[in-house]
Amino acid sequence: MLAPKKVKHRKVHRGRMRGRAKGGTEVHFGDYGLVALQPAWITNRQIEAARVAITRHIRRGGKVWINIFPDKPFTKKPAETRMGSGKGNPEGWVAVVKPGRVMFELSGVTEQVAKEAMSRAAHKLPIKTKFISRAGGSE
Amino acid sequence: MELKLKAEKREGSGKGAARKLRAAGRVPAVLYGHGVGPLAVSVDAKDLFHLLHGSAGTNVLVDLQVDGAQHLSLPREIQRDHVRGRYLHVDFLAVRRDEKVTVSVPVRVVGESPGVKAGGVIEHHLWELEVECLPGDVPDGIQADISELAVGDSLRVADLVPPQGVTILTPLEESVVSVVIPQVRVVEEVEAAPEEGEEAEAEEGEAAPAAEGPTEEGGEG
Repeated sequence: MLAPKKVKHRKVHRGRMRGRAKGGTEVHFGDYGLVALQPAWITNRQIEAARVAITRHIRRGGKVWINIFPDKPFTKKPAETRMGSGKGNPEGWVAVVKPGRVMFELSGVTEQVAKEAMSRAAHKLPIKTKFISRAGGSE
Repeated sequence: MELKLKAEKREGSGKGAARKLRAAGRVPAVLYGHGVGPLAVSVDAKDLFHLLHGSAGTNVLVDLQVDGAQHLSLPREIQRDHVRGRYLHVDFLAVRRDEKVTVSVPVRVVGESPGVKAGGVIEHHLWELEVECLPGDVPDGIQADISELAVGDSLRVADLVPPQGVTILTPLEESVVSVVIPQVRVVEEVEAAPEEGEEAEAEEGEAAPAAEGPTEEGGEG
C-alpha cells in the first residue's frame, strides 16, 4: 500500500478542502482519466482497491498511472476514551483530493474497456467521479 | 480547415461582467496580434464548443467576424472549467495567410506493432509536436507508424514524416513512442507508520514509490 518513506511530522492538522484542484486537472500520461467531482480524503486502502479493480479488469496490455499520493497522516483516539489528553495516534494515510483532480490514468486499452475499468475503480472511492479522455472533452 | 465564428464586442471587464456573460450562454474572449486589439469580445458557448471539437481540435483556423470585420485567427490559451467541462475564456491570435505560425499538433499512432502482439506495451512519450507552417497548412495530427516496432524499439521525432510545408521544431532525437515489456509491481504491506524524522528502511523504500510524480505500472499478468 502507498505510504511515505519518511515524514517530517508524525501528526498534522486536518486542514480545509475549499475550492477546486489547482493542478493535475488534465490527462497527461495516458489516454483516459478518472476525475474527482467532490473534495475528499482518499485513503491508501481506497487507492489500492481502485488500482486492483482497474488492473484486474484490463488484465494485460494496458498501463495505469496513479496521480495522487497519500502523504497526509490521520489520527484516531482509541475506543471508549475520554476526550482530552492530546491528539490521537496515527492510523493511516490519506491523499487530499479536490474537485477537478485527475486521480487515475489509463492507456493501451479501448475506450469501452477503460470506461468499465474506471467505473469499477469509482465504486471503491468515497466520492462522485467522471470519466474523461485525452481529447479534452468530458464524457 | 477554416471555420466562421461570430463574435460581439463586450462592454465591461472583470469577473462580474464575465460571469454575467457565461450565465447568458456566451464565453468571454480576446482578439490580438498583427496590429489588432487587444479587443475584448464574446462568442456563443455552443458555437465555440462545436468549433473546438472538430477534427482539427484546437488548431482550427477561425474566421472571426466582429462588427462586420473579419479577422483570421487561431485559438490560443483556452481556459476550461475542468469539473463542468465548459469553456471559461479563449484568446484568439490574429494571423496572416502568408506568414508562418508555430503550433502544437498531436501525434497520432497508426498501425499494429509486432512488439505488442509479442506481449509488449506501447509507451507514449511525446503527445504533441511543435511545428512551423502557414496557418492554412496546420495538420490535424502527425502520424507515427508503429507497424515495424518490436519489443525494445522506439520511434524518434526524426522518423516521423511531416506533411508538405510543415517543419517540425521539436528536437529530432526525442523519443515519441516505444514498445516495452510490461512491468508488474509487487506491492508489500507497510507494517508501521514511520516515526517523525526517521530514515526509511531499505525494505520499505522498495515497496513505496516516490511521492513526487505519478505512480505507473503495467497491467497484471
